[in-house]
Amino acid sequence: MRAQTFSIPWLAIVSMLLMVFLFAPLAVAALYAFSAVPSLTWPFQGWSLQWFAKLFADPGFRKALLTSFEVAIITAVAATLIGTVAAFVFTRLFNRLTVTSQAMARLPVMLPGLFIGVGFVALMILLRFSPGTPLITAGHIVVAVPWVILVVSARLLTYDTELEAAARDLGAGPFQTLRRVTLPIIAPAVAGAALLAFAWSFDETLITVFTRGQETTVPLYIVGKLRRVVDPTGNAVAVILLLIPWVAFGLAAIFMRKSGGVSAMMGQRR
Amino acid sequence: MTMSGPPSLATSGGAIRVEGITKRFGSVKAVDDVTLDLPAGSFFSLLGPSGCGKTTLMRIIAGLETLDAGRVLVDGSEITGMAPERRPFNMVFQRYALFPHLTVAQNVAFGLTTDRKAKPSQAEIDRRVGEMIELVGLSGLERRYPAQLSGGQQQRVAVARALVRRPRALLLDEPMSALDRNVRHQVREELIRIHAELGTTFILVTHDQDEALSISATVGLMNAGRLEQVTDPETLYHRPATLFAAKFVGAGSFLDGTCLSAVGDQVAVDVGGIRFSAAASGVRAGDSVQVLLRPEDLAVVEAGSGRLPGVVETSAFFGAHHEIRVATPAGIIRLRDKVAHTPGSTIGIWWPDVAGIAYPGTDASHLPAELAPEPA
Repeated sequence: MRAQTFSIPWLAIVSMLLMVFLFAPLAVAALYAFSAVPSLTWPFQGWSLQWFAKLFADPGFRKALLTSFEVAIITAVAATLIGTVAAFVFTRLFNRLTVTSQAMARLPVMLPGLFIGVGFVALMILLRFSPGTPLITAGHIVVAVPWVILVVSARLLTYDTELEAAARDLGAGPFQTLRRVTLPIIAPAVAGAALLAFAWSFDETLITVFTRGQETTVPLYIVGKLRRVVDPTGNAVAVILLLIPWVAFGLAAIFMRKSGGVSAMMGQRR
Repeated sequence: MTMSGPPSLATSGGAIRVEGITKRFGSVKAVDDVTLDLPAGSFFSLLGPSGCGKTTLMRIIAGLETLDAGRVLVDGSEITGMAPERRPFNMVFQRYALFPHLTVAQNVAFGLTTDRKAKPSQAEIDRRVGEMIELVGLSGLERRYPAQLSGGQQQRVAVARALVRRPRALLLDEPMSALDRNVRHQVREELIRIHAELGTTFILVTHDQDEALSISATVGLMNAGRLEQVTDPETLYHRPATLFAAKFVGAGSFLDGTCLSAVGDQVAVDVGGIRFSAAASGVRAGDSVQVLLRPEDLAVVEAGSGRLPGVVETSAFFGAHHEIRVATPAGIIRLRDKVAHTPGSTIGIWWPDVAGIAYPGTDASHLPAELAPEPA
């Protein structure tokens, strides 16, 4: 028993080192976004927000940011609509067609982004469709829909359909039942799925490379930037790129935890 | 609420007739050609083992399940194909199915707000919801969410939510199966009170015979999709029409024997050499029979006396009596006594000259396993 008290906690030490290895670059990158001098030198020279100011003064960045938001918002809305309807079909109807399409709907999650990107280029040439924001968005929706299906299906599988029978029994037609009972109850999961789709889309780089055309999104802006000059504006973009999906993921986690169980959801309300 | 009870709560009509209802799930007939007539205002129980089709029959009446054949009528008009939301019935679901995102008051009000054309004013809704919440004894809990209520309270919300629409019939699907024994008693009395107060037709689905016998005026016993017997609780207990009914309702022992002679409703039977008279119908001389003896027909007497000797197998205490299981030459017999008996001790069993009911045949293949007689 005594020996155990004095043994060296190897597991804890290795874990700590791994964490440092993982997060130190992030911390350093974030730190220099607030640097007072343009060169990335140690020790740290003092605080400033000038790189953020410089960044937002760059019309190229502002355009990239707008494009990213546009794509992410449209992706979130479209993927959530399509994915939620699909989740209903897959959890309520069981026949050869729905089972097959369910398997196919999962596919994009498992395919490499490179493959999807190349596929889009091929399709683009075939259909004489020019790359640009609509195509970027289409590429994102293709991959975001399966995620939405997964999240919303998980919720629907634990949803008690007797609630719908009860609503019908109390005089509500099918549409009113959906609007007043089913959707409000699964809403947290749907909102969580939408935020997940948004965050994923905002971050996506690989497929976008193939579908961008003349457009630039925030991740592609930072790639282009770092290729030319290394100054803290790149770090500033990294911080922004880090924060937006994290905020979205955080919100999604909160929403989905709330929808984890109906009782859990209700327990947090008064 | 006035002492006489507000007339606004009372409903009219509610005579339900189902005709030749059949429902198949795959190759299984869940409901098999059931015909049933319920007068308005009756308290009717559908009793039967799980899987006998009682819940399916109720959901067909509610419109929540389609049917393969038959008709459903309410007060003379056919509603067979009508959508559930248009039927004049409301249901209390087995697990209550309360809307978790709505408060108690919002749950109860739900049924009043679904018909956009006939939606009452907010004041009227508030009044009727308040009335219902008071009727089921939930005043003060209006703003709670279902998850914040006990099982018994949730059950009351479900009843109030169903009754607020003034249905012509209230359908209760195993409403007490999720409740503690103590709460069950209380809810049972509440339901009887509410039924008396409203006069609405109540249909209760249950597998609990105590519940069915104690609460309703008429019981329909179902077995394998068919109605076995429809009668009042006393008749069902004292004169079960079939061997299945006899085995499902109440406790009892079944003795194999032969019918010696039949005179009217009485037959003379021979059970392993013991001769006595029993009630019967449709049994002829020479038939092999099974004779039902209720525990109250039997008495424990000194070893060596009585009609049948036996060895006590188990003796269990039930408060007012001890339930004793005795092995006899005629088979296992269950009876009651005021005192405990040591397992292994020998006793005598006595019953009067006229006792029990004789049923034709010993074929028990249609019975569920736990109801089939033990092999000798």
